[in-house]
Amino acid sequence: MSTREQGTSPRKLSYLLAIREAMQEEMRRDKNVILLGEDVARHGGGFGVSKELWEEFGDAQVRNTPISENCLAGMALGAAMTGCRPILEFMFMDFSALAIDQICNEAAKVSYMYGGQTNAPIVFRCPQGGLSYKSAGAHHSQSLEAWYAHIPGLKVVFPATPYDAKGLLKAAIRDPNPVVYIEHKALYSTEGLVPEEEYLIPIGKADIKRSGNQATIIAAGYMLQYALEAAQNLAIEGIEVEVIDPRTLNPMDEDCIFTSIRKTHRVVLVQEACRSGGVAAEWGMRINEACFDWLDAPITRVAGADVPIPYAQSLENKVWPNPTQIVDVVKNACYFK
Amino acid sequence: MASEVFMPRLTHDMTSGRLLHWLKKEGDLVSIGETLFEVETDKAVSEVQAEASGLLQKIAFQEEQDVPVGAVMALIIAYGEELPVSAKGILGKSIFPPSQDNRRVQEQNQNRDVAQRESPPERRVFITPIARKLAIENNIDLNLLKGSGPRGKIVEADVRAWIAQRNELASVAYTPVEDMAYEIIPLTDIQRITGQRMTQSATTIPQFTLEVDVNMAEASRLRNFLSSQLGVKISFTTLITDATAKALHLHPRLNATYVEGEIRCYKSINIAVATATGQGLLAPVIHDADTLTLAQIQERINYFQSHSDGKSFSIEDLSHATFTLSNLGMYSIDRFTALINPPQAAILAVGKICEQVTMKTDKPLIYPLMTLRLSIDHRILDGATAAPFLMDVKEILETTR
Amino acid sequence: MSKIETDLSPEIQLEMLKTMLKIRYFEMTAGSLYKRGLLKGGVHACIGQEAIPVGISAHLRTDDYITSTHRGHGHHIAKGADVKRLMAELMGKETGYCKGRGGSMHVAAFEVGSLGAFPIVAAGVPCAVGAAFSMMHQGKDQVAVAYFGDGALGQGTIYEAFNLASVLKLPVVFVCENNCFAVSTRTEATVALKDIPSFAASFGFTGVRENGQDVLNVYKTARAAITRARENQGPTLLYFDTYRFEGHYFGEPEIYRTREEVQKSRDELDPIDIFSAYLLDAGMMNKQSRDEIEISARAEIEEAIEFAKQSPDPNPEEFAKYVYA
Repeated sequence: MSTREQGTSPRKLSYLLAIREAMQEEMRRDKNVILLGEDVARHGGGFGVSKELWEEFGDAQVRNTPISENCLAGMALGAAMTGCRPILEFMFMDFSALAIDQICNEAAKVSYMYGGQTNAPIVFRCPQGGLSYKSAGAHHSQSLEAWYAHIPGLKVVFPATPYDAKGLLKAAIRDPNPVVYIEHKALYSTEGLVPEEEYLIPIGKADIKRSGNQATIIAAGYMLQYALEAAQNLAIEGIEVEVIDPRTLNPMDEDCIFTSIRKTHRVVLVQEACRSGGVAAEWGMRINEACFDWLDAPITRVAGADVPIPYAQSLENKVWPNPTQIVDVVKNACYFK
Repeated sequence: MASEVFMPRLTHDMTSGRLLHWLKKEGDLVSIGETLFEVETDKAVSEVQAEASGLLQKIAFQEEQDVPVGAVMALIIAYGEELPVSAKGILGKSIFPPSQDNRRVQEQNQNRDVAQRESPPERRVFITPIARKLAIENNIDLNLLKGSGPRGKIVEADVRAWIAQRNELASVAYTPVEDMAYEIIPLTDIQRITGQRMTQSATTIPQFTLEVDVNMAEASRLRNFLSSQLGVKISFTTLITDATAKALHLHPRLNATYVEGEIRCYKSINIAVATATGQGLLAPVIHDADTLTLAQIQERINYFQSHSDGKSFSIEDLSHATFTLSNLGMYSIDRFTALINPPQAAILAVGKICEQVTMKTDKPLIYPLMTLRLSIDHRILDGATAAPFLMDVKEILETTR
Repeated sequence: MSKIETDLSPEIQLEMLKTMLKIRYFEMTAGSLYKRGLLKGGVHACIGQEAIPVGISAHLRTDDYITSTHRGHGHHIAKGADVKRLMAELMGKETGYCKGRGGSMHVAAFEVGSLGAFPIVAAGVPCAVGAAFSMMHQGKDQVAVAYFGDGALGQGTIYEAFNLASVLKLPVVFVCENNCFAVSTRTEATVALKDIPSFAASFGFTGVRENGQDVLNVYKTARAAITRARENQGPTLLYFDTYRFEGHYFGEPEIYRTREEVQKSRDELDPIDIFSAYLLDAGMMNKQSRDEIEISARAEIEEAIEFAKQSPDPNPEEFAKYVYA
């Protein structure tokens, strides 16, 4: 969609390979960029994202570690404050729960509580979500972005396309702050155009993935696919929606989102994560504060159910949002009869 | 130098401590590290030690007293040293650096009170924010809009349709000449509200008028009688209010409002009297007018006139009207038609009293005549219902009581 | 104190005594300021424990790293931190090490290698492991010291750190200060670990348990550990027995121990008394030079208080500065 994707020499690349390529380029550029995590070396990590990197960079830059999430996050922090730029892969984002102390209490706060004496350039790579990554159950399917988006000092990014995945990871590695980089497991195999040339995607910039003027849909990660599918179906019925991919969840690109809503006067928020306390709630509140006088319908949300992710597919399908729900909610917002 | 004995802050959130026991008494010689007193906080009982050596003097707090954190409780005077002159001023005061927190909270509360007092009560119109914004920007009375959204909510499309229609009308109507010099007189709040209500009245109420002439000879006689014999000054407005209240009592369908598709007839007869004020037209209310004496009604009317600056009427003074009376007699108007004050069912317009000659009697007779015009909401009243009411008003005024 | 052979010159030993006194006066002053409402939040004193950081730091270079705890003023002063900026931080001033954003419990002094106080128990230990990893990765010879208390031995993270440091053979020294209490609970009630050497050996590194009240003993014990780290021979666990003379924080009611017990410890275990007696006995100082050292230590703290009091508060408009680098 974006014109930037039409670089001079784009080729098709999967989301997974785009992430790998970003790490590879950055590790070549800077020897202090190191990848840490369980099985990240020859095995290539939980999903094979880092395959072939150990062969190129060896133990020096690609290091298998014990299964000690909290200690690993703390170690990444110590290394980051003394000259390294660690990338820490959590095999599943669910496991990052073990490391919340080091991520949220320490890494997120060292810059502030030490009065700018130091900073923590760490990338926490977090494969999350379910959907086409099926039947992984309660501890391998969650969407936990809201936990981290809540913490001042952390940045949280969530790319939805191979192009964004590569550009955002390179920006995250170069960022002086700790960045929670969320990868959607169901997107790994999806393909998109990625230029050969180097590029970065600035953290904190949303992207309009489809233009329209009757309603705005905001959706990140895998939900972007559903939002675009819904937008296509709505267009057939004569409703032209704008679809915004926030790409960065914290800090939020308020300008892009508010500008769109002041144009369309209606907004539907979509998140895969369970409803309560999710990022959509934060988007909604900020929109309410800044755009109330432009709204022609209540801010509404399509979100996962407030239950642990079940195993059986009949249950699983009930828990996650789907494009039909998005279509219905947008029609309601447009008073479409 | 005297050293202060003070209530120490023993926990992060401690604001005061209960003084349990003094282990030393006034005049005792104490040395550093000796326990002076025991204090109880919500967490534990702790001992507090002396931070200086000398004579314990000027104990200012008794056992079992709650002492604020930082308060100076006594002084320790080094041996041979004299009690400082300022000792009295120090005792009980806090040694802590002053905090601005409390003052700030108080100020905030005050600001909030003011904000609450100043926000006027608002009638609920269901309308989306963007529709409201558009309506305000385009000077559209929300009460005139019809909502097409869920449960009649006014949505953006409704306001845009209204604007489109208005623009169509405006294009064929007279447009003011912009290049002439003019003076801008801003509307008062009262004028703005009156304007909205009258627009609503004129554009949404199908109203028509009944007219009757009243012979005010008897009423004038009564007025003079009360004035000369009893020394009570009663105005014609009072007499007409009294007659109207009595007639409304006989015709409750006129003492009514039309709200949300239903007629509401009221037991209380609360007559609003249109009154010109410095801020614009207001209609303060004489509540339960049918139960009041002429003197009591007159007292209310005097009160209204003494408050014609318009600002000092209370919400109560302006609320719960069931019928309105408008008298322009004092402005020498012969007769006029008043616009109904929605949602009331009717309004009575009173003209001036003038000498009239009648030929109905044996010889031409001169008598005082006054014309009443009653405007009624044709959705809920008709001539056959309203005429008897008006005739009763006439009769009450024309006959002596 | 038994006479111990040391490679330390008398000048350095007197300097170590002065540092211990500076820590003592710093802590006493902090207590007094806290009770007078001039310090806010929690302030945790290490009075009684001064020998450990001073003995360790005698081996450390300015560019070596430490991670500290909520009871961390001593660690910082021993590592060479400026008491003026430290006191200003405690008073929440813009001239403090952390510009008033951290306070006593979250202070750091990067200019002298302190990666910060981590008041979440044991949280600093993985961070020291990370610094050690970073030095190894960059081919540098700096070492990292992780200070923690006996209470930290209840945290799983610390065993992850022991394991990780051993597996990666990292230049880190784990220094446990067993001051007998985790807040109000005695070590025996919270720590099952008894035999430090065999415990460490089972993780594949060296561990020793030593008296932490004798600064020269601490110094001697630490030498081998820091040399091992410096030569990339892997981690060491140093477990020092000490005693906390003050409550967990200033103003804490201390219902878990008797005054007599504290007094006895103050009489018999005071590391400053022990070291002073040794230095007098060894003829490295006399009563007069002892007083001079004390006066000069005290003067530095007085100066620090004055500096802190005169320093400006942080500008409220800058409350959000440093959230992001």
